[in-house]
Parts: sequence; C-alpha cells; structure tokens
Amino acid sequence: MEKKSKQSSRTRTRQAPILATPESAGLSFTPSPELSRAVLTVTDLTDKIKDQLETGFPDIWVEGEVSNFKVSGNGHAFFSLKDEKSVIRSVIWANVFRMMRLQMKEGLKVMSHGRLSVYGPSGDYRLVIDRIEISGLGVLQQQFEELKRKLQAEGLFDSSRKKPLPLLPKRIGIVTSPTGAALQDIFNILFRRFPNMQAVIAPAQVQGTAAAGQIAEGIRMLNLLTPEVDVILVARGGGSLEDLWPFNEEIVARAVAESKIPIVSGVGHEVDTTICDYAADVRAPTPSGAAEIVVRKKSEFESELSGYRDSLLTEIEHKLKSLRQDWEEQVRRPSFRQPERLLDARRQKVNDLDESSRRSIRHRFEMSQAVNKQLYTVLQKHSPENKLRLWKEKLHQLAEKNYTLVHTRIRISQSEWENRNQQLFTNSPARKIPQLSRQVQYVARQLTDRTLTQWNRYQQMFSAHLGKLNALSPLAILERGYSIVSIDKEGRILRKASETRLGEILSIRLHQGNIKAQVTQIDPEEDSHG
Amino acid sequence: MAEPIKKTPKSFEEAIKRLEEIVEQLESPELPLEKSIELFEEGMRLSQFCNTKLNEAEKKITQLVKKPGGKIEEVPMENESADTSTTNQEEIPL
Repeated sequence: MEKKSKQSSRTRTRQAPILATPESAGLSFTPSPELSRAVLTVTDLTDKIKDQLETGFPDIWVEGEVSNFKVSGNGHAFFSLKDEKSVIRSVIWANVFRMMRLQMKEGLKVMSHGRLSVYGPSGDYRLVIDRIEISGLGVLQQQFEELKRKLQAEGLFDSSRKKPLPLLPKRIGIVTSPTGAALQDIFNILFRRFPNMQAVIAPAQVQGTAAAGQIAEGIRMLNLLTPEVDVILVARGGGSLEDLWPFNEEIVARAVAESKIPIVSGVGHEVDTTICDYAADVRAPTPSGAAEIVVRKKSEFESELSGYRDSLLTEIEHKLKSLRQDWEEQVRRPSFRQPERLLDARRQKVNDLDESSRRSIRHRFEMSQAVNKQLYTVLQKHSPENKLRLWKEKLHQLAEKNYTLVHTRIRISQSEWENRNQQLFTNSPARKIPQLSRQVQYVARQLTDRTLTQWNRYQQMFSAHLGKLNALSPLAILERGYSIVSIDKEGRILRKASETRLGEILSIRLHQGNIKAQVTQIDPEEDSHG
Repeated sequence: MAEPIKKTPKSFEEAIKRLEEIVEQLESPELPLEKSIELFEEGMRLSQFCNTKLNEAEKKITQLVKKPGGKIEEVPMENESADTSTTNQEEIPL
C-alpha cells in the first residue's frame, strides 16, 4: 500500500514539469482544486496553537533535570528541563522566583508544577513554573522512616535510655557551626539567664556531606573533655529537609546515643523532627529552646535559696520564742519564786520525826512502871502470914532491890532517852534549816541572776539575729567565746560537771573548729561556792 | 544524732534537696533545741554552698581544636561571637 502511494507520488512529480512552464514550476501559480480553502496567517496559527496548548495543559507536574540555568537582569529564571530524550524550555517569573527557598543548580532533579505557555515572537512554547521541589524528596523521606524504624527497634530511642539533665550545669558543650545564627541564639539565652556560664564549642559544619561526621566527632570530643561538660547541645538553625539531613544520619544518631553526657537536640524549627532529636535525651524545638531547657534563670535559683534561708530563720526564731515561754512559765512557779516553801515541807518532816521518837520513849517508860506494879501485887498476894514479916522484910528488901533495879533501869532508860534526844537534837535537820535555807536562797538568786543574764544575752543575740543574717546563727554565740561541750561518744551535751567521769573524752565545739579533751578533774560543787 | 552532719554536699542538686528536707524537719515542734540548732547550722551552710556554686564559675567561651597528633585542645573563642548582637551577619551561611 505504502509502496504504491510512493510510486504514484513519484509519478506525479515526474508529470508536473510536463504540465507547467519551467518558470512557474513548483510555485503557487497552480490553482488548487478546492477554491474555498482557509489560509491562516502565522499569527492566526500561533494563536490557535497557543489556545490549544494553554487550555490543554493549564495545570501539570513535570519531572526533569535542570539545565542551562540563567537568571535574567529582571530576575526571571530561564532554564530547560530535560530527560534522556527530550527538552522543554521553562521559566520562573521573577515574582515567584524571589520567594523560592530552593537553590537551583545545573543537573538538579526537580519536580515542577505550572502551565504551558506559547510565546509567539520566538515561536516556541515553555513551561511557566509556579512551584518547584527537589524530586529526590520522596527518597529522603523513605530513608528517614527506614532509619527511624531500625534505630527504634534497637531501642535507641527508649525513654529508659534518657539521662536526666543537671539542675545547675557549670560547663555546657555546644556542637554547631561557630559562625551560625544558632550559636548566637543560644548565647543570647545562655548568658542572659546565667551571666557566669561556661561554654565549649565543638565546631562542626551543619550541612553538606562532611557535616554528619563532624557532628558525631564533636559529640565524642566533648565526652572526652576534662574538666567535663555537664550537658551537650546539638544545634542548627532552620532549613530545608536537605539542609537538615546530616542530623538524620545514622552516624550522628549513634554518637548521640553513646554519649555519657546528656544531650539536648535543637535542630531546625519547631516542625522539623530529626533522627538526632529522637536519639537525644531531650528534644528542643529550636536552638534557643534548647538553651532555655538547659539553663534555668540564675535569679530563680537565688530566690529559691533565699526562700529556704527565710524558712530556716523563721523556724529557729519560732523555736527560741517557745523556749522563752517555757522558761517564763518555770520562773513563775511558786517554788522558784519562794524557795523557803521547799524548806517548809522538810521542816515539818523533821518536827514529825522529833515528836514520834519522844513519844516512843515515854511509852516504854510507862510500860516498865506498869510491869513493876503488877509484880509487887503478885508477891504480896502469895506470902504466908508467919513468914509474913520475914517475907515482908525480904520482900521489902527484894522490893527495894527490885525497885532500885527498876529505878536504875528507869534511870538508864531516861538517860538513854536524853542521850538520844540530845543526839537527835544535835543532828536535827531543824538545826540545819537556817543554813540550808540560806544556801537555797543563794542558789536560787544565783540561778535567777544567771538565767536572767543568760536570757538577756539571748535577747541581745536574738535582736542581732533579726538585724543580720550572719549574726543570727547560733554560731555567733560560739564566736563570743562560748563553747559547747559534749561527751564525745554519745554526743550528749554537758550541763553539769557531774555528768562526766574522770578520763572521759569530751568534744568541745568552739567558734572555729573542735577540740577533743580528757577530763582530769571534776568539781561538781563549783557553782554553790562560787 | 541519726545522721552525721555532712561536711560538703556532693552536688548542687543534693544540697537543694537536703535544704528542703531540713526546712521540713525544723517545722516539727517536737524537735529538741540541740537538733534544731544543728539543722539550722547545716541549712545555713548548705545555702552558703549553693550560693557559692551559683557564683563560682566565670563566663568563658572556648572552642575545641583538634591538633595534628589527634590531641584535642580548648582555645578561647574570639570575642565577636561571644558578644550577643555584634556578629557579622554576612558570615552566617544559613
């Protein structure tokens, strides 16, 4: 069929020169068989093509490689998109191009969105692009998810691995670009909150192929440092997924997970989450956020501390106050006010004792008399009449003798009684009463004076405490030369010499320092003679 | 007498925690005077310790440099990056 038509056309061309004059051969001189044919101007045709193409492809996605990229003086970007076989001219108008974050360069594989446009003056068509993306995006995203799954399965992101951050870091390690905006953001927060903070920078590129290795190395170096850093920030400012890519690499994730020092990751903006964020002990939304998490305001610490100090003072003040009340109560008690009353009871006891001994002696004497009388009557009753006189005499003698005996006995009893009485009198506690009374009064006065003096001292100390924090410390008492003596072994504080024994080791707390001492002499009465 | 007074706390955290405990214990009305004074003393010492910790360091910015032998050295960082807003913006590549 084809062959046939070719043949016939050949025949026709051959015929033509025969029909036409040589001059007019091949030109439009030969009228067409159809008279009504429509003839288009170039512009008409172009308009038709324009109409067809522009309405036919108003909204398309095209994938291809960038080539011949140029930006004109007006800021429009001209380039071609191509694949192995074809090329299509493309343009990004200046107003769109200015807004784009993507860095266009030769050979970049992109996915672009736009419409077809025909340009009459040059007779060509091109793609007018309004959106453009790097076409590898899907691949990166896929890598990200894959690595995330893998590390998660290994337990690298487990919350049990997360280390707590120090409350008050002294030295902070920062892995970032030394010239980056992220570092400035971190410094702003860090030194505003804590003017005397220390920072150690482990410089690292934060984008490009070398970045991941340098970041991992930085983390490792900071772990080896002496004096050590208390916490490490891994930080980078915002950027595209490609820009942030180093923080999605396994080598960085491993370095973060292996770090013995807690790591806070602050990469990109709030919406960006990297593998590094997952592996870190704490994820911060931004570099400044990381700094805020790591350093609490110094002023907050200070007010917390002064809160504690206030509580300490209030409590001790309260304690002293209640002790004072106790003491005043004691002083108001009658026995303390009038020590004679203590003696009254004793005096009474002595009197009672005296009375009862006197009574018992008298009783014995009366008993003897009664026995004697009874004996006499019995003897009288049993004597015969004859021998009455003899017996009487004898009896009389006997009686007399007996009487003397009894009398002597009585006398003995009496003298014994007197003796005892005398003895009782000499030893009578009653005789000691005035002396004791004087002593008690003296001691009581001494006690009152001393306690008052002591109390005045406490009060002076107390008001000094209120005025000045330092002076408030009970240490101040020690500063004045007082010391606290306690038994070394038990830690019990001594108040009386009698509470210790010879040879015992005592611990003496002075204003500054402690002394251990051995007891060589005990004088428990010192106070009453003093 | 339960626990001996610690000479120096291990860390700032520990000191703050102990301070909190001490204040709580001091609030108990049964506490004898000796113990109260002991606790008060310890508390004051701890707050002093914390204060010292807060003010102990001096602002310092250093940068790690790896020497050819693989040794890591800390060198002071240039002042320009340490000061807050005066950095040369053009040098920031991001």
